[in-house]
Amino acid sequence: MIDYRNASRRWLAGMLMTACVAFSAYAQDSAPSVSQMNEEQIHQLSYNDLLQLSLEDLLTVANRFGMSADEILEYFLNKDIVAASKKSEKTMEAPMSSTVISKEQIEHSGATNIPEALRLAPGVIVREKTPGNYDVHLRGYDNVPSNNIMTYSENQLTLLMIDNRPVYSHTFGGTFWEMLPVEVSDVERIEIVRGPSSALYGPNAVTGAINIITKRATDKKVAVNFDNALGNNNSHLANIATSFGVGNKLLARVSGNYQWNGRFNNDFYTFYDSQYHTQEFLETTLDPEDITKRTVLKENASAREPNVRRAGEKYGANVALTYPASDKINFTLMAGAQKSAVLTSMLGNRWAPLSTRESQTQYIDLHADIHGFQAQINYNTGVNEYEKLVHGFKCDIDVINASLEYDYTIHNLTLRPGVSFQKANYNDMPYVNVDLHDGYMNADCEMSTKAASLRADYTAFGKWRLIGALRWDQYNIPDVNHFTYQFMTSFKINDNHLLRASYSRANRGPFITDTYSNYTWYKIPNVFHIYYMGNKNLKLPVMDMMEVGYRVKPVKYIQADFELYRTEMNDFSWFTDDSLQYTGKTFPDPAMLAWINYHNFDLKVIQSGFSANIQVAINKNLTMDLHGSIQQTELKDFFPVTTFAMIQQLQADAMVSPYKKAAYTIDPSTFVDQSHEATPSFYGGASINYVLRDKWNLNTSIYHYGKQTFAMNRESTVIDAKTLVNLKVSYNFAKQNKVFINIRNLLGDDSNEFAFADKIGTKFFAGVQLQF
Amino acid sequence: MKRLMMLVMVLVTISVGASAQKEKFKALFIYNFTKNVDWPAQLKNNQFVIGVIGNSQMAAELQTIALTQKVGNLPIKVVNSASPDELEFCHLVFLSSSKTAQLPNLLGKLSGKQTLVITDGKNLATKGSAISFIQDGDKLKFEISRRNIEKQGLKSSSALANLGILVD
Repeated sequence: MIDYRNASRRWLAGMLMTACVAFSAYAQDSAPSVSQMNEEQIHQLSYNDLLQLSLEDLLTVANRFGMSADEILEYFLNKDIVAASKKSEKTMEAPMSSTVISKEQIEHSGATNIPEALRLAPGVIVREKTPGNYDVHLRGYDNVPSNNIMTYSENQLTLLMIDNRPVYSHTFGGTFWEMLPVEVSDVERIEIVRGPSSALYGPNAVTGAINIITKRATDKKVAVNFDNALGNNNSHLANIATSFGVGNKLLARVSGNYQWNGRFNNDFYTFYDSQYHTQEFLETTLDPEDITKRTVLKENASAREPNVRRAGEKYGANVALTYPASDKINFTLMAGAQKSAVLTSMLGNRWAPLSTRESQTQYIDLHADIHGFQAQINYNTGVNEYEKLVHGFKCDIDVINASLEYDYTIHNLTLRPGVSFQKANYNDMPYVNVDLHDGYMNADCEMSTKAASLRADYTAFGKWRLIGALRWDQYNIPDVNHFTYQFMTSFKINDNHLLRASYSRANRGPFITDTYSNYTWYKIPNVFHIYYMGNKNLKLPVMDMMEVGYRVKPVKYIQADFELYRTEMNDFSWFTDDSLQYTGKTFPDPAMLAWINYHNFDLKVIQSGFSANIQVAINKNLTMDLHGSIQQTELKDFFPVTTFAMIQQLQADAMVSPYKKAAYTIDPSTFVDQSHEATPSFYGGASINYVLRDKWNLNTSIYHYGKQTFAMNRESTVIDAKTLVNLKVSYNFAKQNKVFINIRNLLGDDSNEFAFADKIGTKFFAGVQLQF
Repeated sequence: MKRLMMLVMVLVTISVGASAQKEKFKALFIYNFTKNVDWPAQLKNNQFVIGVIGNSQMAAELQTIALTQKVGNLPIKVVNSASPDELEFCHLVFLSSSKTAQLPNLLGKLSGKQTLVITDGKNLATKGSAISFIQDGDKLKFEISRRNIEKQGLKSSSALANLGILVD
């Protein structure tokens, strides 16, 4: 049968491509002057081009791109980073473990989306769950706690921001990458800070923070960028952006993005027999635990998730307006929207671990820099349905963030006091039956934080830098104050050697489900009901880190960065089965009831690791990068019993005394110390980029992770080591207009990268990238 | 794994021919200035001579430009010198920042000789040089003295005056 939706989309894409090629050929008739070029175009001017420039154009190049060839090398190796200490500085000088991924690196690498681009940085573990849909962890801490539901495989410990706007989800804690309204084509650079940094960024920057800095219009000339790639499995990626000036000072950039990612599988893993099966099998095979035999393994899946070939689909649109009122006053207003659907690991505990998540959100974000004051206020709103297959996981979201900071410099001391406020509302009432408690919250729940912070940065003798950051957060629920801090020091031996050390503490913030859950899971309706109850008095998880680092430029075209770290984390919280009761009642009253509550645990997780990153820029045509992390994660006082074993124990205990509630007692003598196998002990990557005759760009990149064991309550599985090799070759056929082929996972290892998820095979893309 | 190693080796092999890029923008500017200054016809004989005092790297970079470029129709000759005494027959002399102290001596030697004197440092155009590079934060700028250019018997384009920082 012909898939008319795909066919028509391909026709549309083909027509768009043809139109753009024709338009760009027309546009080539007039060569742009340097002032019309973007940074990348300037970057690609050959030496001969520079010799032929007019004096005016040469000045433009010098002023926009630095003055010397050495600075061109510096541009590749030693990029500017703000995230590392909230002050613009060179990566060589940054006091924390940090990496900048530039837009050029992303484009050359062929990364098709933002999480995939993170594989270019050290310390980031990236697994593809289903094509185009990723699990991202900074330095690990994944699958803590083990032996529970899939929710706990999500990364709840890294703060993701777009232009300093937190996009962390407070419902289940973590980041839903497909819900980002921006795509790789919108990215100016990605700044990654590894290690606890909530004193600088606020709650949830526990294993680190990732800040995506987006592109802005840089001049008034009208410019249009378009790229379009078609791939196997009907995958399709398209981005368009235009920038222009309005009036005397206002600059605008408007962009749109679209992705459709196809699956390699037709089937889905099921815990029923630990095999992959078709949707049809899942819809007809009965749940073996359902004593009434009235439900099936994946009920109504084809009605709710109609396309088994689709891994994900997303649309995004963004506007960025910049208004430099004067040298000291600058405003930026951004707004955008996204609509997405992705097949991903379920949060709950069903027979088939994959389900569709849908989202539609909008945001508005205002930045104002006024005489040293930096103010930011943003609002994000929309609807998220976390599991399309299961009723009760859809809610409206409204999140407001506001912050005000001020830079005050006296000689070698910079002080940056700040205040911030965050309020997040999650309301599932419009979508659930509140009386039946069939939604996860059945209420409009609010989380808010007020915070005050101070950062001090002092440089002594031009070489020794001392930075202290303190932050005090007051949460509405739990009603606690948290004090986090970060102390960093660096010693610049000379321009080519820098030693640094840091000690920091960060905490995760509370989130909606562990605080406000009030859910009745009608596991077998009118027979077995399970109550999930949140806890408003949970202690918040806290991480401490000690780290030392060394950066070196042994020769001017090599920069190397080494970091040695030890982190310790405690006050984890998760839910467990508390009690169970046989009621002795008959239909329609349930015969069995169970209660699941959220608790803190004594578990302590200790991680030691070493990361290295070596960047080489032999010249602007040949750049290389190599990075790797070796680490060991240990669990102390770990309770090694699965939640399934707990509920079976409760069922047995309840049988002994029917009609009485049997309670599960966690016995500390059963705690064990063990190595945590869910985080690979080695992961890293490498890339080489080569520009040939100013026309061809060849890029190959490798990403590797070691073997891991993922343990959840139904079963555990081994994820074998995997090496991904990618190759992108582009040809510049006219000015900045390119055709390219992009092959992801060239070696063809189609093993699944995430537990119980899809096979990830070789993806082929061919496309065009046009500028006019 | 074998396929992976092969791929890496192929790419590394391709890259071996690439050489390190060492040119500097200042050399590009100096070459560019020659397009914006007019020398008297009698000096347009067989070659255009650029003298460099105190900066052998700059001389090497100008030499690289000389391999492929001409000033008007004249091939470029670069003379690397330690003192002003050897540079009396140059069309253009670049005095490096470390040798700024020699500026009065240089100007004395080149008086009336139709030589464009370029220096590297602030306020040097007011002290007799025709053009002087200055670093303003991240930006490379240049001061220009039309009076000093004319004093040497040369003419400059309006672009040079418009794009530089005019000191007179």
